[in-house]
Amino acid sequence: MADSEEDNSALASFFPDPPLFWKAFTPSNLQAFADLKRQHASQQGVPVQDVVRVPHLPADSDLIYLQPPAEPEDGTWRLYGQPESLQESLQPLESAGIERLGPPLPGSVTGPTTSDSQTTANGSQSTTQPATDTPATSIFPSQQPASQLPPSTTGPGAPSQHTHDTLHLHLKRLSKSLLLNYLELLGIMSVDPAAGSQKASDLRTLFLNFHHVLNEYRPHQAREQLIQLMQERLDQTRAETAANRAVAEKARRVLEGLGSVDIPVSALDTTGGTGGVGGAGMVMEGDGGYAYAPGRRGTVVGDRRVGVDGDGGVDEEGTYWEREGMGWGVLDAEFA
Amino acid sequence: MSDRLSQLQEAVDQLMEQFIATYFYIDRHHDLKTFGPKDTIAPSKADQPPEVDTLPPDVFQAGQLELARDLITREQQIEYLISSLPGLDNSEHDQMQSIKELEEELTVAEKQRQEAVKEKDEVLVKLDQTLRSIRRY
Repeated sequence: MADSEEDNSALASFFPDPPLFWKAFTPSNLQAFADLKRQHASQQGVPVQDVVRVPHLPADSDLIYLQPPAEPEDGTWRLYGQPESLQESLQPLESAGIERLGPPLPGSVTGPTTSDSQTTANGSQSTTQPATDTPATSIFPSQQPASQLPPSTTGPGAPSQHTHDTLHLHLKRLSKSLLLNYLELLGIMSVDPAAGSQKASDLRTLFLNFHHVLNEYRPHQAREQLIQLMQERLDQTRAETAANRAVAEKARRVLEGLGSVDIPVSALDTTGGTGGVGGAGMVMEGDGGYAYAPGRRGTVVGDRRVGVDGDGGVDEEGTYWEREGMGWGVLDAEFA
Repeated sequence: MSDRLSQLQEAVDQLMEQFIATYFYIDRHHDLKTFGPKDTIAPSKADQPPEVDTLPPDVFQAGQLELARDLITREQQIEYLISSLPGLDNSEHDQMQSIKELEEELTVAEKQRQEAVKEKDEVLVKLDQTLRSIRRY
């Protein structure tokens, strides 16, 4: 009774229970798995982060839960009743039982598919495409695969030398043929509606061809887009470099204007009077604006710690802030 | 905003939808004719919706004209998209070449960028120190 109640609550819970193997992720197991992984990596001579799976784990331990399952051996699996394949490839038109109009795209892979899909495609072809022997009407009668392009000599692996300059023409032919076939379809339907299915299937062939040609073109487009992205990135990087350099240059000019670029940092940081005098002197000679109080140089140096310590007189503090303001004024003038 | 290929495919799909819509418009709104002088057009039954919804000839004509124009516009759009497909003049070899070149250039530019950032930071530190020294004295 208690069990069934528990089951009911498990069924009624909003979120499903975690998988049973969550208990396997204990610190000791994780550590053991990491060790195994490192060991495997050193055996194979690859970096640890490149190891996805460690083969031949002891089957009785919980460690097998700590790594992703292996790839299916035959490269196919089923998901929601649909067969899936590791190799994502564009199914050639011919194997789908659709007549190809025009030449195949250069470099496109039109290899044979597995015999399994071939038979199913042919089976569906006999029902849905009863008349593929009569080609769709085209306003360009020369639209045969004959000698428009030299046959692709390079294999599918090597980058092909072909350009796609005939694709424009081919696509435009297809789109014009679409319109023409539609016109013919309307004409036929107005005379003999029963004969329209032939024309409709022609239109279907044309549409499928159009889409297929575009899909074949996709890898090319992807590369093209990659080139564009890289170009943009390059421009961006260069612009950033230039902007950074400009800012640095500007700041350096300011520093040169102030004349204190060459002071070693240690001299500035020493609390002794000499360093202070040197620093103050540099500031003075760097900009004429600081010559307003030559007599006070010693005083200022002597009072340097006064402001910091907080026991200085009002007078000295006032001078300090006055100088401060002057310094910023000089800076502003430089940046303006 | 998708890439041009997808735009083109969508335009083609829309063309197909327009085909269908136009077809149904004509199928629905045409008028009825008789084969001979003795034929009569049967009155539609009251309990059934009429098979055709005949429009006045001028309205029907105008509708046809508009739909035909839309078809042509779509066709022109498709052709425009076709002619603006990028990189048709480049072969795969060329593309690989330029990708490789760009990659190298990117590496160089990235290095330069980092150098510039470093340089900027150094100058920033110097500027900061100078400002502090000004404040102090």
